Amino acid sequence: MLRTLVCFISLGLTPTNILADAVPSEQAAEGLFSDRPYSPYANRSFPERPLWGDTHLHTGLSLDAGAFGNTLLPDDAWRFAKGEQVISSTGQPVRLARPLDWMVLTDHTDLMGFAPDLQAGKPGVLADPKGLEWYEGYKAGGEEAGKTAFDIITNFSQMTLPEILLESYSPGADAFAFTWESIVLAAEQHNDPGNFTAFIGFEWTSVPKGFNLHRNVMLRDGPIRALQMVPPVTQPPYGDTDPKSLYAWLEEYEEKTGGRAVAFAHNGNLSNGWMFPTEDTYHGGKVDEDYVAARAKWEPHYEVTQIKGDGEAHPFLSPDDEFADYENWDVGNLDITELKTDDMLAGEYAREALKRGLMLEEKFGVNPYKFGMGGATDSHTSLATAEEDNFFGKSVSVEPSASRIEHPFIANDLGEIPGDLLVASGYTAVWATENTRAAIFDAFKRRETYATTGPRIGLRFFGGWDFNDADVETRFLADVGYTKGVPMGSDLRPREGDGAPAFLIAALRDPIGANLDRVQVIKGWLDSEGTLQEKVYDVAWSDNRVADQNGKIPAVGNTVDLETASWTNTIGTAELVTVWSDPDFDPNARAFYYVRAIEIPTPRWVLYDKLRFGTELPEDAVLTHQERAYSSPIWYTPTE
Amino acid sequence: MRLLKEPLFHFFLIGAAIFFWFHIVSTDSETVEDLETITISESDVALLASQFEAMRKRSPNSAELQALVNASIREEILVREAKKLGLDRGDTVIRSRLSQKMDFLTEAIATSVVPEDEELEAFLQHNPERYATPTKVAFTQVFLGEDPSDAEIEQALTALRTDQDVTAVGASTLLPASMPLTPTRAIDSVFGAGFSKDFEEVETDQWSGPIQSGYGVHLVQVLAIEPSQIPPLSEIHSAVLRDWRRTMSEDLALAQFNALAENYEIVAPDLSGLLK
Repeated sequence: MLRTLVCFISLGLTPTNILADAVPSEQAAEGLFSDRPYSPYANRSFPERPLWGDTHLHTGLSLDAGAFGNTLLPDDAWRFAKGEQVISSTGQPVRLARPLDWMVLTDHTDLMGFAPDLQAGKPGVLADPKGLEWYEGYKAGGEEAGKTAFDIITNFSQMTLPEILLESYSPGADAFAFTWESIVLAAEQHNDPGNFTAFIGFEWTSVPKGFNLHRNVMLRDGPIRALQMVPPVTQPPYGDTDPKSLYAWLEEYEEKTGGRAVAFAHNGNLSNGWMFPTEDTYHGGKVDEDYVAARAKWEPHYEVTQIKGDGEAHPFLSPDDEFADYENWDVGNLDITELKTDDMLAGEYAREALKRGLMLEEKFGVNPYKFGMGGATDSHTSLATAEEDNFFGKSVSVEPSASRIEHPFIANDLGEIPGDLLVASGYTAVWATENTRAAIFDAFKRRETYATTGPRIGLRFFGGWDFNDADVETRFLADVGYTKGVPMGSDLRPREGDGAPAFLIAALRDPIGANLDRVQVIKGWLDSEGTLQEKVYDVAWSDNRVADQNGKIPAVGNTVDLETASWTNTIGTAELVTVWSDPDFDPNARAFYYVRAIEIPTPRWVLYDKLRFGTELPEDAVLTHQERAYSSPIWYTPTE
Repeated sequence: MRLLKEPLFHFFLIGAAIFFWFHIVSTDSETVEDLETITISESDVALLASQFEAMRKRSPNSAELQALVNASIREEILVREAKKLGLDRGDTVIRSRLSQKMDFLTEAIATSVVPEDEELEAFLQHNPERYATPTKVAFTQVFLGEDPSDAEIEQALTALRTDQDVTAVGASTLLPASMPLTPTRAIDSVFGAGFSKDFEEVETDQWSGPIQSGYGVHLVQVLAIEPSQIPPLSEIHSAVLRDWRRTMSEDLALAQFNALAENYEIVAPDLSGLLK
C-alpha cells in the first residue's frame, strides 16, 4: 500500500486527488503506537510547542546604540523580553504583546562599555580631546547628537578611534572586563530554567571597509565558563576582522573552559557579496578545506531576516519566485561606501548560499553553508520588538514619533536607505524539549529552528521516504513526523526503495495573527552538469484556489483597510497540513528542501505610524505585506 | 521610633553628613586659591603615579612623573584663570557634570544602606506580582472546530465524560493535545489570549467547556494546577535587594531634589497654552 502511494505521489498527483485511496489515520497510527502506554501523551520526548526568542539585541552598552542615546542596560532588556513594561530611552512606556521564551543579548564587543561612560562624561573619556568633543555633541542632543553618533561609528569602521580610548575599552583593560562581567551576571540573574532562558552572548562586529561580516555568538554556558575569557574584538591591535580570528577564539573558548559556543552571521545583503564566498574570502584567503571545515563547525545557523532587510531570496537570483521581492535592501554595503551591483547578490542571500553549499560539498566533502534559519530584531533600543503594531525601530533615534520615517537609515553622496525601509522583523522559533540553555542551544546545533518575520506561525517540517496522505489526518503529527522521518535541519535518512522523498508539512497561524495564504517547498539542487538549480513548489493553500496555466496558485487577495490599518481573516486559513513528495527527484543530485509559509496581507508598521501620528508617508512606501516563516532545510545527499 | 527605621531617613542623615563634609573641604580649598599658591602634595603625586600605572601597567619613571606633575600644575593654573574669567559659567559640559555629580552622590548613598530583612519582606509583600511564581496548569484538550453547534459541543462532552478515547473526539489540530504543568501565560501564547483564564476554577480531571481559543472552540480537562506563590525571602533575597535599591534610589533622588528645590523660588513663563 505504501509503495503504491509513493508511486502515485512521485507521479506528481496532488494529495487531494488520492485522498480517497488513503488508509484511515487510525490504522496508520496503530502500527506506530502499539507499544504505547494507555495515555497517548505519556513518554513524549519531542517538543510540543516552539520556543520563541530573539538572537540579536543591543543595549546601551553597545558603542553605536549608546551613542544614539540608548540608556537602557541589560537588566532592562531582559525584563522587557520577559514581558514587563519598561520606559524606553525616549520616555515612552512599552511592552511586548507576548513575552519571549528566551533571548541572546549581543552587545558589540568593540569598545564595549564605552557608551555609558561617554553618556556619564567619565573623566577618562573627557581627558581625550575626541572624547570631550563627542561628549559635548552627545549632550547637545538633537541633530548634533545624531552627528556625533555617526562620527563615532565612522571612526570605528574606518579604524581611526583615539588610541587611548581604544586601549581603555578593549581586551586587557579593566573597563572591558567589568562590562563583560556585568553582561554575564545580568544574563545569569534573569536566566530562569523552565520559564525563560537568558543566553550569554555578544556580537563580533567585523565590518572591514563597510562590508558587513558581523557574527553573533551564543554560549551554552553560565558565568563559571563565560568569565574565564573576555570576548574577542575586531579593532587592531586587540583583534582582527578576519572570521578566522573569531574561529580561533571559539576553539580556545571550548578548549579552555569546556564550554560550548556557536556563531551565526547576518545581513549578507550589506556585505556586497562577501558573506558567502566560493573562491576568495574578503581577507585574501581561499575558500579551501580549512575554511569550509571551520565555517561548517562554528556556524550552523544564519540570521535570515531582521530589521536591516530580509535575506532569504532576491528577485534577481530567483526571477520565477513571485514572493522573492520581500523587504530587500539593495543599495550598497553597510555604510554605502560602495554601491551594489547584481553580480554581488549571489554571495549575499540565504537561498543562494544553501545552493553554493552543495557545490562546495561536492568539491571538498564538507558543506560550509549547511545552516538552520533564524530571525532576529537586531534592535539597538534594548527592546526586542518585531511586531508591526508595536515596532520601536532600529535605534533610539527612530523610536515611535511623527517624524521618524523621515530619518534615513543611512544617506550619503552615493545613495540612501530611507527610514520607511526598516523591517519590523523577526524572531526565531526553536523546537526544543525544555526551556533551558542546554536544550535550546542543542536545538541550534541540530538546526531545529525556523525564522519568522515577526508573527508566531507554527511550523512543522519532516522529511522521510514513506510519509503518505494518511499522515495528514493524524492526531499525532509530531509522533508520526519524528518516527517516520527527520525534522527540519536534518539530513534525510539513507534512501529506502526507489521512490522520491516525501515531506510531512504543517503550518498553523499565529493565535492572535493573520491567516495563512499558502505553504511552499523551496528546493535547491546541483544537477548532473554541475549547475545549481532551484524551484519553488506551492504545496498547500487556502480557499480552494486552482493553479493557472503556469502552475502558479493565484494571489489570495487583500483585506487590509488602509484607513484603519485592520484586516480580516475572511481569506486564507488557520491551518495547512500536507504530505508532499518531490515530483522531480533525481537520486543522483545533492539537494535541500525548506518550507516557506506565507500569511495573507497585513499592514506594515508604517501604516500604524500614519494612523497614530498622522505621518505623511513617502509615495512609494510599501503599506501592506505578506509576513512569513522560513524553516531550516532538510538535505539529501546521494549515496555513493 | 518608626522614623529611625525609615531608610529614607537614613539616607537623609548620611546625605546631610556628606554634604556637610564637602562643604568643609571646599571652603578649605577656596582659601588656598586666595593665596595664589599651588601645592602639589606627596599624596597628589602618588595618585598621579597610580593613575599612570592603571593605564600602562607599569610605574612611571621620574621623567614621566615630572611631566605628569607639570601637566597637573598647568591644568590648575589654567582652571583658576578660566574661573576668574567666568569661563566655567554657561558651559554645558561643566553644568551637566556638576548636576551628574549631585546624582552620583545620591546614588552612592542609596547603595550604601543595608536594609533590615523586615524592610525587604515588606517590599516583597508590597510587590507580590514581581516575585510570584506563575500559576501552572496541566491539561488535555479537544478541538471542536471554528464554530461548532451546541449539539456538537454537548455530544462531544458526553462522549468524553463517558470515557471515550480522547483521540476519537473532535477535529484534528496542530495545537498540542495536552500540555504538562505550564505557566498560564505560555499556554495563552500558544492558544491565544485568555484561553486559560478559567482553568483555576474548573474541577480537575473533569471535562469542561466550551472554551474559546484563537482558533475556535475547545473542551478541556484540567489535570493539575500549581497555584502561584511568593517564594520565601531567603530564596530570592538578592533579587529583592536589587529591586529595593533601585526603587529606593529613585525615591531618594526625587525626595532629595524636592528638598533642594524647596529652597528656590522658580520664576518661569507659563507654557501650558503653547503645548496644544
